[in-house]
Amino acid sequence: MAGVAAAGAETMNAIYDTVGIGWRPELAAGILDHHARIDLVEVIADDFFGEPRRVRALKTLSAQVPIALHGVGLGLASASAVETWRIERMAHLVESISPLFWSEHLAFVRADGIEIGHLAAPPRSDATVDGAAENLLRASRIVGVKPFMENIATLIEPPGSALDEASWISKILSASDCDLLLDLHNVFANGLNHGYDPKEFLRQIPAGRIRAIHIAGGKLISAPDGTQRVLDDHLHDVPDPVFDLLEEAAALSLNPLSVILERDGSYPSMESLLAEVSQARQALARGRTRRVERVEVPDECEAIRSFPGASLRRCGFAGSVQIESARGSKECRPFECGIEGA
Amino acid sequence: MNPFDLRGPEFLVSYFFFSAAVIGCIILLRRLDENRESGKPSLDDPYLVAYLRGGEGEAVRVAALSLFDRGLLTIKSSGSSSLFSDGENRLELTDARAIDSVERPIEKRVLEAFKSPVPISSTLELLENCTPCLDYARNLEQLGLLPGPDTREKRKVRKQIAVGLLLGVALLKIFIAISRGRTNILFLIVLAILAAYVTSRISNPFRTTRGEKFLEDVKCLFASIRLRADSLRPGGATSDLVWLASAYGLAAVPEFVFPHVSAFFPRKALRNSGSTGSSDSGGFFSSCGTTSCGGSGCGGGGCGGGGCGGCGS
Repeated sequence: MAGVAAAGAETMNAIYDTVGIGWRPELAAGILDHHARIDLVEVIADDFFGEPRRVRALKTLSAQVPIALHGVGLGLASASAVETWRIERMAHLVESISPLFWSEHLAFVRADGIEIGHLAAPPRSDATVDGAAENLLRASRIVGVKPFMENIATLIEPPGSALDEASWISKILSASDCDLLLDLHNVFANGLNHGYDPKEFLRQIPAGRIRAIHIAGGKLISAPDGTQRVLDDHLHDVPDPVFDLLEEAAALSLNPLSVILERDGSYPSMESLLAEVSQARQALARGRTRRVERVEVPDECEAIRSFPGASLRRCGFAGSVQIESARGSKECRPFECGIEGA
Repeated sequence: MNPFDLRGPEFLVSYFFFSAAVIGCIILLRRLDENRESGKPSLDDPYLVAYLRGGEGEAVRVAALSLFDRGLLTIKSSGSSSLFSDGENRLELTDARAIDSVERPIEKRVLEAFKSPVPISSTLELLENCTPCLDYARNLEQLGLLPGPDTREKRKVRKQIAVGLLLGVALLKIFIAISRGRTNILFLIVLAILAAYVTSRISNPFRTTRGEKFLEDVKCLFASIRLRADSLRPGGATSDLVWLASAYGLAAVPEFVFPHVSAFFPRKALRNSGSTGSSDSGGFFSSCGTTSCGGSGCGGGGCGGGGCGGCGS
């Protein structure tokens, strides 16, 4: 019979959540110097397509720190089919690197053969839901692994939309059976730009699909009509409301979450970035504390749990732990008994 | 047809291709033999990379430069001589407590060597056989990045066989030519010596094939630092300098940003090339060697590339 033990936030984080930084060449030295404090790095996949030498270097990097691949050029959320060769490039890279996961954007980047050079939001309609789902199913089949799909930021509502963003995202994820890479700064920016409550948005999307999270910073800009908009430029520190959203997401989701701090320029010191990583861990911990009431632990792990400094860590399918949420829902997760740091 | 019956010029052409084939085989066998995975090298120590690139001398020089940049060592001029004149520059520990503040053994050893003002180059040369350097060598050998005793022995055997083949064929032809009353053997002798020399040189490089690849990977990962070298900040604010010097050599460190870098060049290199150094893939001033990441490989955008596809991502 399984024993029941209260689980604190730290224990829960030790089980599931990871926090990392987006790999940028400018941050290479800092990341490698501090890789013990970084759980994973996210690499822009497109920089490695057709570059075997870089791919080999990426393998060397993956021996130092776990890697997630993030695509920016597939344009999967489109009513038109993405060319197979583009997906095959991603498949080749995924096969070479064996990343923790790969992800792309719920955006289109080209139309009728013309490259936009930007992640553009398609009209939120049933047609783009069907097109995106079809593309995602093909991509999942060719790559062999389903991508996590990221919500994007928009300064204006996509013209021709019949669905709100949360419904549109939910429909695509449901139709393609893909999980979500939730960009919280994009949620924050869209909420401000389009006048909705970001936390309400989080409650509208399927929490069970959230697998990875992006956090970043942006800046306020003036729109032609004189109103203020948030530009998601990744050049600024993560604002406090985004950490609040991270706590909220951690409270809603039962999944292990991989949180990535994105920074694309105006780089601060590595210590500043690591402080943001630390803030993210704290936000996750707060969210987990709110969610978890108790964790049922199999008897065979009780001895280990009572060992000073022991915690559960998820690294195999040696057992399962049942998590009961504040709302009463239960979910079993595989785990392996272990002594963290012993 | 017996190749030894070929006339002089035809035999010389054949011997040339034979030599090329032997050298090709040597390279191929070495690559096959030394490309095996034997542990995953860690990228958390730049001095390990410096050692892999240029040997113990590079490791201690990069360590000294890093310590100087971080303010733990200071340069003293000697008498009236120029601060940068070869052999006269002296380095000194700024604070004795610094020895306990650094973590890496090689840094401790370098700091200990400069407790009192001593000439930089000659002191660093003396440090080349220090214990931390030997540890790096042992570690790199265990990882299969530098040739260990077994690899060196295999290389030696292959070299002996190859040189024996090249010289044996040449000697046999010379014997046949002389026995047939011919004396135009000078070109063959020169070609045979040349082929044997080239074979000896390429048989025993500093790094293993795996070591070459790992170094290329490191250069690829840090390509961005080299591109940004002119905008690096001195003062130890980041570890960019130490990684730049470790992966690409002291010559890649811009003098106008780090004006004292030339003081850390080895004396031999200073004599040979003034204060800027030169490019040598295996030596002190290694930058992007012949097999490394120049051109269109990794030098362009660096490994990892740019941002996240612009705003909105």
